[in-house]
Amino acid sequence: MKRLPNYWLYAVVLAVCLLLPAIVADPYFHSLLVTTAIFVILALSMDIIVGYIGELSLGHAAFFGIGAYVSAILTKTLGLSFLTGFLAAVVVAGLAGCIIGFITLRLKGAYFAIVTLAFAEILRLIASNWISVTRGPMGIPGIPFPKLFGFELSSSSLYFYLVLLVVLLSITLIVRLVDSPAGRAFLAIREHSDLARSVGVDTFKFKVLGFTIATLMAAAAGSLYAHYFRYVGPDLLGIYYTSTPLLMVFIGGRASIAGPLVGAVIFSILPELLRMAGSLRLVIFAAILIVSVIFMPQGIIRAAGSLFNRKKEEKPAQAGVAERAY
Amino acid sequence: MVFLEVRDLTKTFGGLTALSNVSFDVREGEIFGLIGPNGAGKSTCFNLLTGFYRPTSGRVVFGGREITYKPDYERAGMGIIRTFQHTSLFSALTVFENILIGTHCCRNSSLGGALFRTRKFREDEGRLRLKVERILDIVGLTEKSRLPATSLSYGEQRKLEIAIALAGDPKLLLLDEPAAGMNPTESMKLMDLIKNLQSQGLTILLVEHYMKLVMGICDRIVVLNYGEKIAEGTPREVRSNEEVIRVYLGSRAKVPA
Repeated sequence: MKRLPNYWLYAVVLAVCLLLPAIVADPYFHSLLVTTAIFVILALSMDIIVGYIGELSLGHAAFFGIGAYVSAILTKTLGLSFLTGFLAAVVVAGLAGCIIGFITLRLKGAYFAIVTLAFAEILRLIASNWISVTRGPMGIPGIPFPKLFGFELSSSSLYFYLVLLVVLLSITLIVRLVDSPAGRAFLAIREHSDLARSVGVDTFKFKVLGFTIATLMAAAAGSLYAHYFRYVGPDLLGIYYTSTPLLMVFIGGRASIAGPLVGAVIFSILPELLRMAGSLRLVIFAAILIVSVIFMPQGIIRAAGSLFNRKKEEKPAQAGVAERAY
Repeated sequence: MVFLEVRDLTKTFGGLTALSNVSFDVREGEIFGLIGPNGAGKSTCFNLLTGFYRPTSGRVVFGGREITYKPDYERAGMGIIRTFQHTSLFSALTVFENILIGTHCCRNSSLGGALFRTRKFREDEGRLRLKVERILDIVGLTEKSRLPATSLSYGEQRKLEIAIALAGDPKLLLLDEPAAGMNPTESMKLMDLIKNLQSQGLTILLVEHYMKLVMGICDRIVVLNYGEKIAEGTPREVRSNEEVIRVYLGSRAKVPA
């Protein structure tokens, strides 16, 4: 639970990320970097709910969408600054998350999943029909570039650094959260709820707390998305923005930092690499997904970890959160 | 002031009366046994004392404070911690992490402290970790602290469960069939552990079927049958009680003197 065993590895990854936009000058590559990084944030937020608390939220897109729309409306329609929009987006989503969490987290797993799914869908319908505020299916175009300290972030590579900053903040948040009584409470709830209660964990309170933190993070991703593509529409509240981070977390590895990261990278890069396969692209992609779920049910990170550990003949890889939260 | 007062505790599930007007006192520092045949209402009584069930009627008073309807998760903070009949551990975590979670009710830090890694937070975490080390020592699991909880033997896992409960600094420890599934050697070690805990100031209430343990370490015992109390007293008094012999112990009950 306490150590980050591979400081050097993460320093290297970070250095590579910082240098990538400079090394590869292709603007399409830059936009790929931005989308991947945004999905890293979204996947990390999904991991809080699915990986650490152990609940299945099928309405995550709702908070991603709230983040996007609040940012869009405040900056485009009301002319407020990027930072104001961003903070408001996060706060509004957090409030919504807290309320929804409060209402739904007493429900058993399957019912919680269904109600969260319904919530996202209801929001999507509201966005599609509340023409006066959201312009319905036409969406809100022309969202301004973020302006930080008077400087306009109009290039993909600069925007990437902004998103990277939020990624680092998100990772720091999760690492510090997991290595704390609250984080341990999440795991306790996931592993054995009654035992957790017997040692004083208010399971409901902590579930709502974790859910709210996850929604804050999802909204941050949504806000960044809105200011990059500079357009928001009701499909940001659609199932794609729930299923994608969900798959990223499961394929990459739940309850870890590396898992959602690897999952997000694979999900963003792989379809691009498969372009050479032409029309078979999605078929191969689906095949890879199916194979990885069958042969690596604990995710890529753990499969790689146990392979590595078996070679080093160390203790078993599944030795707890210390191995996970890195 | 009696440590734990149970008055007319009753629990019905629809038409079934699981517990009927059960009253007893537990004195501070004693090892108190709750025994009886299967279906006597021991588990029901246990769950009522720990807040996992709400009573139909009756009162539970702990340290002078009425706790009858307090929810289960609040009891640890009050000093009442239980173990479970079936092995209950945080399986995916290590032995150390399992016990660390047990310190939850003793924490002194906030979420803000955790996120900003304040000095108060770091000191508190250090304090909790030292506590875990101490408890590992008490139960004898120090060598295995970094191993996953599931890699422990059955007897060790049961010890770990007690360790998790101890981490919350209980004043009253409720053990639910702690010797279940143990061989005689493990049970002897368990008896030593429980007596050791008593000598450190804990009050212990246990539900148990293994009579050698019950008669061996309990200071006083209550016997239930069909939801009612049929006897209360020292092991000697209880095992010579005719009704207890008739309904539970059997006439050739062989118990240590």
